[in-house]
Amino acid sequence: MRRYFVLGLCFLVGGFFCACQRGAQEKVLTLGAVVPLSGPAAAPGNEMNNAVLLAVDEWNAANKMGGYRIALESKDDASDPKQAVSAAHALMSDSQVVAVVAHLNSGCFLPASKIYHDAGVVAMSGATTNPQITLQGFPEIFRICTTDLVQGELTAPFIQQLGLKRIAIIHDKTQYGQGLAEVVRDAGPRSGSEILSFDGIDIGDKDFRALLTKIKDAHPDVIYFGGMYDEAGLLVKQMRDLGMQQQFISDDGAFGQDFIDAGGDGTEGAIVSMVGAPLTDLKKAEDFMRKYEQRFGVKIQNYGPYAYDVANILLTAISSVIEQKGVPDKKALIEEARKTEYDGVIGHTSFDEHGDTKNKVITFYRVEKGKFTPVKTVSMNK
Amino acid sequence: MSPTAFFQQLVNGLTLGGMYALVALGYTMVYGIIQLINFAHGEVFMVGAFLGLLALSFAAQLGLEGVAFTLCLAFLVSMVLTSLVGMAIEHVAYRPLRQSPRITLLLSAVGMSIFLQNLVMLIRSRDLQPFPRIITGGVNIQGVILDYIQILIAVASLVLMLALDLFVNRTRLGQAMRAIAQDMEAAQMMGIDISHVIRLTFMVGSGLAAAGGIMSGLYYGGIKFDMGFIVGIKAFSAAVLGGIGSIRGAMLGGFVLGLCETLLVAFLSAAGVTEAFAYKDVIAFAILILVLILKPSGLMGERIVEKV
Amino acid sequence: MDVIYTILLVFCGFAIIVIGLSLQHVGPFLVFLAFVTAGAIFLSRLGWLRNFRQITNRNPRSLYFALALCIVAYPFIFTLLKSAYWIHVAAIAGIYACLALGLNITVGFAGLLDLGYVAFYAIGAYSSAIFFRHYPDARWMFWVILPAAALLAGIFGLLLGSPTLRLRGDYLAIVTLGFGQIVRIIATNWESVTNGPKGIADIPGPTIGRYSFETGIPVGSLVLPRVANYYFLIVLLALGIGVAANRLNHSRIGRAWIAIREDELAASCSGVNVTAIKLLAFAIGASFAGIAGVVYSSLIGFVDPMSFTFMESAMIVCMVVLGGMGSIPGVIVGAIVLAILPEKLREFEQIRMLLFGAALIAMMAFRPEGLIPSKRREQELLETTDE
Repeated sequence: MRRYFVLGLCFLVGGFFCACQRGAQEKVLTLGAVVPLSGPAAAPGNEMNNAVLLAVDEWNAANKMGGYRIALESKDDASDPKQAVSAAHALMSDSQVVAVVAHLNSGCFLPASKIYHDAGVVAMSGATTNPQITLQGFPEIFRICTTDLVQGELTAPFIQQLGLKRIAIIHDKTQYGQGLAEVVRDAGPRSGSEILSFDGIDIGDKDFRALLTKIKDAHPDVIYFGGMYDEAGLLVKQMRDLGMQQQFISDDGAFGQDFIDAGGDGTEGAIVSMVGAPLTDLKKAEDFMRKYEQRFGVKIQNYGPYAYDVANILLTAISSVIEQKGVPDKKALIEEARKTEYDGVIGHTSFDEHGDTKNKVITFYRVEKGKFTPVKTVSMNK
Repeated sequence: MSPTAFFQQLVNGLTLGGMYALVALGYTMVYGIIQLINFAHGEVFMVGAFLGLLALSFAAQLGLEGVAFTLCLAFLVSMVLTSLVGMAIEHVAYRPLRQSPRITLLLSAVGMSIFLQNLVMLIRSRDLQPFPRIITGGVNIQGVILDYIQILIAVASLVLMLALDLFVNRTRLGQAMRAIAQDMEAAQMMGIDISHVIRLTFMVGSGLAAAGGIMSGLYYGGIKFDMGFIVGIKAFSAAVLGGIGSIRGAMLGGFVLGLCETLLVAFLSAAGVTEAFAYKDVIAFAILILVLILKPSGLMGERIVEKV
Repeated sequence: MDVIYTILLVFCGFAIIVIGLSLQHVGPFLVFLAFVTAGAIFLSRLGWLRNFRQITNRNPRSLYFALALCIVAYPFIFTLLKSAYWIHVAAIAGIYACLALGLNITVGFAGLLDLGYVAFYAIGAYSSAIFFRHYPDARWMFWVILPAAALLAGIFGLLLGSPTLRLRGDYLAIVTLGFGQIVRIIATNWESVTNGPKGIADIPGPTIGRYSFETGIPVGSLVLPRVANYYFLIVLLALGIGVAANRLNHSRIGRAWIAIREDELAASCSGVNVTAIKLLAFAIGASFAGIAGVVYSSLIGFVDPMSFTFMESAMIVCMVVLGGMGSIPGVIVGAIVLAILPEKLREFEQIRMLLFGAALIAMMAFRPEGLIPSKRREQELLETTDE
């Protein structure tokens, strides 16, 4: 009996020491990151987390943060809105969290943005593309990727320029895929295309032949798919099986080796769009990709560069706030972030009044010999 | 809908139906004998597909050649291993509970289903796993494309079903199965080793599901850890539609459901129901609910009388 | 003496929970958990816990008093610890407790396995979301929607139940599972109403007169965070639901449920209107889920179809099973434990569901009566194994 008490006492005392030590050691500021580390989007989420880790380590090594050490607090939202809100609460409960690298999924950022707003903490996303997020009027919310609106609006004229008129649209009934497909559907007729059909498929379903047979019967020139790589790969494979040689076009959800792995030979000639300019065009990007591969042993697939830039933009803004005020003041950080002019891995970033990037560029890639080759970069910049 | 499209949908539906039927057989056999909905059966189908993939990549590493040979090997290895998995499931999750209330058994089955899904996900990957497409090409009959793999699925599932039918109706073990299904206690008194026969039933059902899993991988070109859940529910619907407990009924139910999902949806869509494809999965559930309400004995089942 | 003893013990338990929650890192938490478990086992070996049960049976009021004090103190403590997070988690746990209590009526009392229970939860959440989508300013209507959604979910329970309850138990499980999927598919595809997969955002919190749930609660110099409003609301609702469930369990209806669960034929021969009584269980269970859904939609402020998958149903079933089918304190504890553990063990997120699956099988094999079994159920299960 007494042994248990002594054990417990030792443990409690030890715990307190641990807790106290953390505060006393040195000046620390915490960068939060909420991305899906588990769940259906764990792969891109982990890539984003790694990229943020890389940025934080570089800043710590350079020691330019006015004596502060930067800690990274990563939380998992599992692509689930409920868990995203929980994770946001968890970060906001920690007063040391100065800014947050936020979410991969729009469905997560949308409800969580309110909590960042309540706490007055800057949250910047590199991957959520739902237009609604920045239209809520929260000054703390930023994003550096273009929205579905931009991607969809730019895709429709691109299809037209390929000389393809009759579009059959498929989407995966998710917030992301369907949202994008709707923009293409609405923008298509404006650039002179004809929308033949607009159908949803279920994620996790593998049999799309019935739908494709119906679409084949309508003789489209091009099939556009709004969704993620797994379904895109299966779709293109089954298209070819059914003898459909039409052009297949998809979105940034299909931009990644996973699409080519899933779709096999059928992906040859398929076109996907990705936000931003081609990474191979930018010198900084090459540098980053090399460093990433060195450190984590895998190649960058999709959203790593965005997370890396988000982290760098935030840390740059924090360092200039510290320079001015001596402390990482959260309120001043909002203003500082708004004034961002940053040349990073994905190109130049600055923000408009909503907190959206002014750099509205997307690039189309064609799959050639199992690799993505940039075909055309288009922009909406004025 | 053009005639070409109609026949293409017919081919699509029959292929899908063949796969449903193979999985439905496992449900029906187990239910016929111990009145348990083997909730984990869809997961067995998935495990079968992954074991098939394993066998194929192993064969490729060993440098084995010949499409027919590697394919037969993959089927054999996966079916044998999966039937062992089925046996293990029965041993761990059901056998200790045979005397318990039914709800306990069903919950254990749900737990097993969740467990298997996550086990495969952790061991292998969360992403779609590309399945080697060793059978490609097909014949084009007036615009209707009939893949060789579709022919294989149709032939193989029919052969397997025929073999099962012979097994159940013509062998002593099959006779024992039917005896247990009729009256377990009486069968026991006749000297039938009940545990042995139940184990065997699980093994046979799992082997058939594994064959279905490999076919699905070959057909779609990709497998995923969660592929069993929805197929499982649909196959169960097929089993109920055909009359649960009836082996020929499960086969019929599988094909009817496969055809409904493709042809019915295609007809609705052609008739101007724009969202027909979005509601595709509702069809299986609607059939399930309607059959249970209107004709619980299904198309070919016998009327079940509650024993007191 | 008893009173002091009870209060002291409850406070000790509460302190252990608070310390456990405020341990930030997994390592110390696991050590702490192991230590507490060892302590609990040790105490039960000494017979203290059985003692505790006897004393609280003799003098339940002191137990309730101590528990109430702890529940009220909880948000204050975590506000002082500057952790709105754990208040939020507690609110979520409360919602799960309501759900588990509702499912307990169908599964635990009446013995009808419902694998599509989230459908009713979704109906509650969507009815509030859809209303506020059209009338975002009528925030007081929350108090009207709350009972209305309960009623609506109950009606859906009746609609689903009336044709299917004639079926045998395991058919029912699959049919309800199918129903759960159908509701999710409709929520995904009926865009004009549900906004499809994009979900409905910006669901406002309720107001009472001038008081809004969107602001913190000022108490003296302390300001409780926004979520504390929901915390107190959900505690009250869970309490109400728990009391209602308890009353039902000890009424004629409750006895009829148990009669049906044990032997439907015998019950019907003894004059129990089997269909009506089963339907009642289904409808009441469903209406509790409707209430939980309304609170959920306001707490998170966002509703989409992906929040109502089969896994969510399975999770609620796990809560009921872990706590003990038919045991009201049991399922509450089950819900709280399963809602908090994943938050604490985020590092093990990947293997969480694997462990749940394994735990479900293990529970069925070794302790089907749950952690805190209901007395009646325990005896029944013992009898069955004796046969």
